[in-house]
Amino acid sequence: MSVIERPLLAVENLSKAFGARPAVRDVSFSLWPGEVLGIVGESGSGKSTLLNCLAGRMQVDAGRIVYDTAAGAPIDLVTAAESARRHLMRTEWGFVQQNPRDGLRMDFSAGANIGERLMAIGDRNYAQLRSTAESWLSAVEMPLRRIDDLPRTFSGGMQQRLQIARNLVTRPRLVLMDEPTGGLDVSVQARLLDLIRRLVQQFQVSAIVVTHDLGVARLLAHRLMVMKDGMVVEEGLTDQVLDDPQHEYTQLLVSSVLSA
Amino acid sequence: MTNSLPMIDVRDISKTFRLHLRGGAELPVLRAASLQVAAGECVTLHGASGSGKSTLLRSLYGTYRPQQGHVRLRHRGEMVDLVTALPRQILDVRRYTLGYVTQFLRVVPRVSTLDIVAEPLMTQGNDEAEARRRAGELLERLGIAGKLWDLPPATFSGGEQQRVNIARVFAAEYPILLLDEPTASLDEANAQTVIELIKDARSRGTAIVAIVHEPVTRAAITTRLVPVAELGEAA
Amino acid sequence: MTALLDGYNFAFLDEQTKRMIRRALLKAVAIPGYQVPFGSREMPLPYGWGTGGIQVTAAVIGLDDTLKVIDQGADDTTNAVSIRRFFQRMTGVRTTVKTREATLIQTRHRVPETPLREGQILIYQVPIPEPLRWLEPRETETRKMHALSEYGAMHVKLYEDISRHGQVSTAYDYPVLVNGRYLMRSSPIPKFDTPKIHMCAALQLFGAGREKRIFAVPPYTDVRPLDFEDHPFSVESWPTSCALCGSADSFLDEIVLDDQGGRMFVCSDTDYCADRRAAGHAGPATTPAEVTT
Repeated sequence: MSVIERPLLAVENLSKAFGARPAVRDVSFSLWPGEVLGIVGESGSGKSTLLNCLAGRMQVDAGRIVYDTAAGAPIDLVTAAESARRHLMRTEWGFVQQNPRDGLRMDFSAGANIGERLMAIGDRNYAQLRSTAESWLSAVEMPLRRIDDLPRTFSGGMQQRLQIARNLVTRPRLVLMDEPTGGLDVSVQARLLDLIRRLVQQFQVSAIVVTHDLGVARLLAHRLMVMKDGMVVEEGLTDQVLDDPQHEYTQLLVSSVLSA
Repeated sequence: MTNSLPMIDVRDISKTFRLHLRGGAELPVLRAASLQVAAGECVTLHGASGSGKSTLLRSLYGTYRPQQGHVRLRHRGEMVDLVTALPRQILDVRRYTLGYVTQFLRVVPRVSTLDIVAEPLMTQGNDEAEARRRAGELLERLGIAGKLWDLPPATFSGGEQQRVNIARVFAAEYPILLLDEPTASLDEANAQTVIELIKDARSRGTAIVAIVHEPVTRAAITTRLVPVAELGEAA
Repeated sequence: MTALLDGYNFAFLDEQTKRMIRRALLKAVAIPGYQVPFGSREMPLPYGWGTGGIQVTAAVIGLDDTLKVIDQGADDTTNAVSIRRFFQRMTGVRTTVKTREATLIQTRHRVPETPLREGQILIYQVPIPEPLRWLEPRETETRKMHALSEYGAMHVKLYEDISRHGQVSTAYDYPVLVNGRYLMRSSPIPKFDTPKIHMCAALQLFGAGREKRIFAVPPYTDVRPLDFEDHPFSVESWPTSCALCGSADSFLDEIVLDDQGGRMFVCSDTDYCADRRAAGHAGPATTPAEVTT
């Protein structure tokens, strides 16, 4: 490689148990700038727990999560001050939830939802907030006239697009997505996937996408990790994992879908 | 036309598929296969179905990971071994060095034909206007009417999709090309255009490995015909 | 005059409870705007009638104090009268309606118009102390937001006001930042009174009985309302001046006179209005002498 780079995120030996039941077992991986990493596996494989640990929504039992900040100073999120960690979550990280109700303020307008992160980092100019919200609405293909409408008046696909806009507005360097297309109709899914794909390219964000849908993984991810029983059983480029699966479990996953 | 700069150096690769869902059955496809391709060469792989042509091509692209051996490609002036390279190094090789015309276009929902063809150019860092201009040139040469450029190719005929696929890979002018039946679903005129494109690429020094059954195309493009079965020890 | 009632401790609360409340008050004064939990006692009034303010008053009142109690600016409403009588019977201290004469002023929903001076204490009755509650229902999370000064999302509500109404429509209980650090609800005073909290010469104490929280703004503390650069904080104004005293700069209540649409505006602060009239000021309504409120 011509450019000397550091990983954006380096996870080392991460473990998390619920009581006696291990949910994430000794997981290590690196995420590079601009890379989209897919985490696939069935329900209960630990992929969502891993994502929640990365986002600081769950405390980890052991391991390190080293993030290279925009300021160029890597910090271990496991031991970092909570204030620093929460600040990063509001600025340099984004989190797109499977259920938009968990990721949106349902009682506030689309414009307020988009502007919240900006206000949280100190933007105090109403007119600017408004025009930024407008440009993000159009970036996620929503009509501008819906800017003052409540999310509950939107379709599921629109809610999810709004959630994406709300996250990307601070130009995060890393976005975590938990089943971003789950629960949507197939045609709505396709549009959302295309949008995510385009925005990720356009804004050069790195992303970790948790999905059980290998088609979603094929379309979005450069690289895949396959999880089973809390462990990473296989990883590689997306086409390597899907077209030449090595592990028994991955072969089962790939053979269980019609076409991925 | 042919110069001797080695572009592809495959050494003793073995690839066995282990089918866990069939009781761990082992399917050896390549055994200690070696192949060298120089700049400006077009090597056509020959062999019966199941002889390992596609496996070799996919190993050259980094999709299949051989258990043994090396797949070295000239990338940014150095030989990079895909067998040991990191995933992001393989992506870098694919972005700048390695183009692959598959048999079928993997359609991305909603993306227009012109954008699909322009995308590799843009990821190489070309500006959008230039990428679209070159994409348009290629589409025109391959007979995709301008009125179709704004449409996603999902609804195109097989032949049209294949020409979009070819335009996408040839527009980026990769130094190494892998072609899997590039003219299979094309009529004679379009096949002729593809043959010209391949010849143009060769004259630029592109190293090409192809799987082609169709005799006219095969005769027109091949500089060396290689029976896969003879690349290594019999599998 | 109400007689002092026998058999009760001075100011109703026992001395241990008063000490506990004073300790909470000292902490509150030391950390302006920070909500200090305290062991709120059952009082002989229902919650919502000012039990928080009464406990604070009971904890700080002394024999040489002069007490004033107002409700919505008036000394003569039920709530104000009851609380004043309560302290008369429990302490025997002097009471007054005059802002200038009072050393302690317990208030619901208003700050007196007459500027407060050093040595005075203004005690607010507070129903809901937590300014972040509408944003975040979990107490653990709101405490964390205060601890980390995560207040940016508070502007979301102001944004919403402007997008719906063209201006910030929050008319009372306006959120303020105290001493550049803690976000505070300005009890439910009208936003007209919000600037009076800023750099006030008097000590301001806030008591929430049901929610068991005490907070304070010490004298001369910086208190800033939240706003946007292009929609700066502003206070209410009225199309007219007080019908009785002619004041153009006090908070006015609208009084409906008849069912023909007749109405007039008068000062909410009855003592301020009376003072002005005594000094010879008159409003439009007093000239025809139709109104004798």
